Amino acid sequence: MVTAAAILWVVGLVGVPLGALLLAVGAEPAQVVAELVEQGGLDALGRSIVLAVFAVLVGGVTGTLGGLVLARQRFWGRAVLDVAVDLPLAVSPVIVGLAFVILYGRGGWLEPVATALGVKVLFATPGLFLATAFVCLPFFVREVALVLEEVGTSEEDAARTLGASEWQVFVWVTLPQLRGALRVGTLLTVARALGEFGAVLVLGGAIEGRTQTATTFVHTMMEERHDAGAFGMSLILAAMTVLLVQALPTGARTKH
Amino acid sequence: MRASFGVWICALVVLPMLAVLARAAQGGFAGAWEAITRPAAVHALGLSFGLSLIVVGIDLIFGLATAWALVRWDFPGRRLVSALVDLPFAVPTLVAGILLVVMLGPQSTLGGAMAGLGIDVIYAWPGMILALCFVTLPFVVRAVEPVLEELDPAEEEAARTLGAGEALIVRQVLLPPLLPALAVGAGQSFARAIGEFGAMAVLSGNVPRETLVGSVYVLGEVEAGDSVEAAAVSVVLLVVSIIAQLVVSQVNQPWGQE
Amino acid sequence: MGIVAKNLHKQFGETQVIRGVSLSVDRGEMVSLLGPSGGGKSTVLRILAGLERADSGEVWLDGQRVDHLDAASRGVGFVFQHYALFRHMRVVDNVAFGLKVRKVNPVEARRRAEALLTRVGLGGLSERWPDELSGGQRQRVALARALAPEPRVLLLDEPFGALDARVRADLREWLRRLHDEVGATTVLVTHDQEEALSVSDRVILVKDGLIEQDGSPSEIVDAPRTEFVARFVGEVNVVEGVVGADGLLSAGGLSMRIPAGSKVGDRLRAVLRSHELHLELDPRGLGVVRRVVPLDDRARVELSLNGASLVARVPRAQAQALTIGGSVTVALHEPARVWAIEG
Repeated sequence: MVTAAAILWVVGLVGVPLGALLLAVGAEPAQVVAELVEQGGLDALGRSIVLAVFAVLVGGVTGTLGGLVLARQRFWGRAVLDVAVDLPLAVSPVIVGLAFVILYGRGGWLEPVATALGVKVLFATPGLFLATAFVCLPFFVREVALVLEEVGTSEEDAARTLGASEWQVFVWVTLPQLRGALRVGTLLTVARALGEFGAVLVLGGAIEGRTQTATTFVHTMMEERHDAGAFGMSLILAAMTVLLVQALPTGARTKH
Repeated sequence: MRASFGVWICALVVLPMLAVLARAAQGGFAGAWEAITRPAAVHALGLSFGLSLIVVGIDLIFGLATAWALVRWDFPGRRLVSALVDLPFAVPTLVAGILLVVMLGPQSTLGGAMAGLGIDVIYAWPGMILALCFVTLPFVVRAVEPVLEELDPAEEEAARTLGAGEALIVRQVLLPPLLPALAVGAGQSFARAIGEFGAMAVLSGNVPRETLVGSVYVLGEVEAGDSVEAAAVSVVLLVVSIIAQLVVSQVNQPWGQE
Repeated sequence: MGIVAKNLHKQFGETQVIRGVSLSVDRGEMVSLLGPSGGGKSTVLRILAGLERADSGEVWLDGQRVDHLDAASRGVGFVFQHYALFRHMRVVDNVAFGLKVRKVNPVEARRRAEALLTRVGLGGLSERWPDELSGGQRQRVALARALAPEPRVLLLDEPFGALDARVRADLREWLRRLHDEVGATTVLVTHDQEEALSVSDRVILVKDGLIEQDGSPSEIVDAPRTEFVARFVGEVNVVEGVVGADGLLSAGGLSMRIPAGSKVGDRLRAVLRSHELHLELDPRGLGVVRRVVPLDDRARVELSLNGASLVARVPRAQAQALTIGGSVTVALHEPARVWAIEG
């Protein structure tokens, strides 16, 4: 009884809607393709992929650094950093967008800095980058810190006593230990970057050809009654993210 | 090393959040209070809050049942169900909204049939609750599952040999170790639901004082150029979700390591 | 001198872990740091290796002061309790790591690693992954890895602590033989007195961050300087008593001679090692046999004497004559060594 109810619930809530989307797209494939191409869907998807790659690069570097700092170092202010790293999991994406709009908008604290550097943040590509980096922040840091805490420092100490410099210890011992963590971090980051909507909508403004991403494309299509295009892009996003999550080792999925 | 990471976190996370606080406080406490007590804002926040509570309740019941089914029963299609549970982690929430629109929207067979019965699902509360259930589905299941796996059936058997009835076993043997995990799952679900935006934006209809939730209200204020109002309402949402998140991390480390 | 440490101090947070440790190890000597867990012996070893930095004190290796050098530049070989093999490298690459770091050409490094593996008896296993080896094999790989760069000193931190008893005993003998062949200056940290006594030239007992005694195994066993040392290195009975008018200490139903300087009426504590108690079947004896546990060639006899519980180790042949509940007289072996420690 309990089993049956649980299965029905999960299948009804997730499985059936996915099936419905497949059917809806399958019913008018030509229309879907046409709207995706004509309305700038491919361009938007390309931009999302670029954002995802960017998020992996930035997250991989800063996350490895941050994981090392949080797992290996004790210092004043560490607790604050620890909480701040998890904050993106708790903050609504719209608020992320709003925060950067306030920070870089008229009268914002960093507006003079951006102007001095000649960078336009709002409704432009840098804004998309910022939003994506923010929402993806926790994944690499958490994965790396977790693994480093699990493996401890004895292998690194062993390498030191064998004469390895700190850089050699990092490249030959620490990094190989992090392979799994970096893989998981990459998958989670790509899935999140592709799916981010609220923050890139507010910060980027969904301007076709400039700041339109895959998700804001879906939103625009819905508002303009181009349902076929919206459904098509939704299916692409669902398929990509489902594949990503299937590539994750079990147990790593929970840490979203 | 720690300095560069600290600067990065401050620039990326701390400074933007402080900027929201500062903007909300721009008109003083009275201004911020006025902003969040506007009838439309109160309704939007109340709706987010109420829906999130309902969704957490549903999640707890069905999440526990699903975890139970996945751990204790080996039924055909178990792996498929397990994979379905994980999907909402990955599928963009906006797409989750679209999925439900496709299935239950006015043009769909199912939605049409229900509309005929006078039940509005999409662009109404039932659809919003379903969407929030979709995006929060994994949290309780995945929090409870490992604990259930570790629970030794021998404990239940021991209780049974000692003469305990089923109700007593559930209350005294099964529930206590599950409570922290349920709290974690509930906290994560609540934090996610209260801030949910993508699914709400496409599926709630966004009618002020009817189906407009807090996060979408914030978007409206941003688009209308009223960043003070947007920031004030954001602070309320932020505080609530951060509290939920803190509850989660406290329960995760009950003995306060460090 | 291979290793000299002078007046080391180390504090972790509020806890003084090392409170003034000085020691020296001759070139080619094998010395054990023995003591209970948490006594600071591993910390001393890590300070010697440069993995921890002492708050004060000096460390000299081969006549060179090395306090300012980090672990990588000290030229020590270190073996960890839980092996600390590089999980993502094959056995041979583990052993060759120290050579790779020193830019030895890869072919030569591999040849030397293979030779070392053969030497530690793992000739055929060089292409295995560490997690495919048994605990004993892993520890031998760790030892080969530490020896590969030809370190000036070899430091072993509870190297056999994670292994079961049989493997421990085998590896212990093997380690001593290897040491005799290689001749590296070696410091071994252990909490197992049998291990320390059986492999080392000298044993240093460490307790609460201080050295209790530093001497050869026979000095430690035969002339323990403190009650702690006596209790740590053997199975003992601790009895308390008062020095009587006859100038003998009566404690636990036994009379024994007292050290010089004690006087009538002093309360003293004596530590009697189990193999120094002599039992004789005697229906009028005051001792009552409670339990007899056969060991190898001896037996462990638990008995009570005037209300005190004692443990004696006697030859098996003699133990076979004992019956549970039977009476015995208890005496100290002649010449008995009894140390009285003021309590």
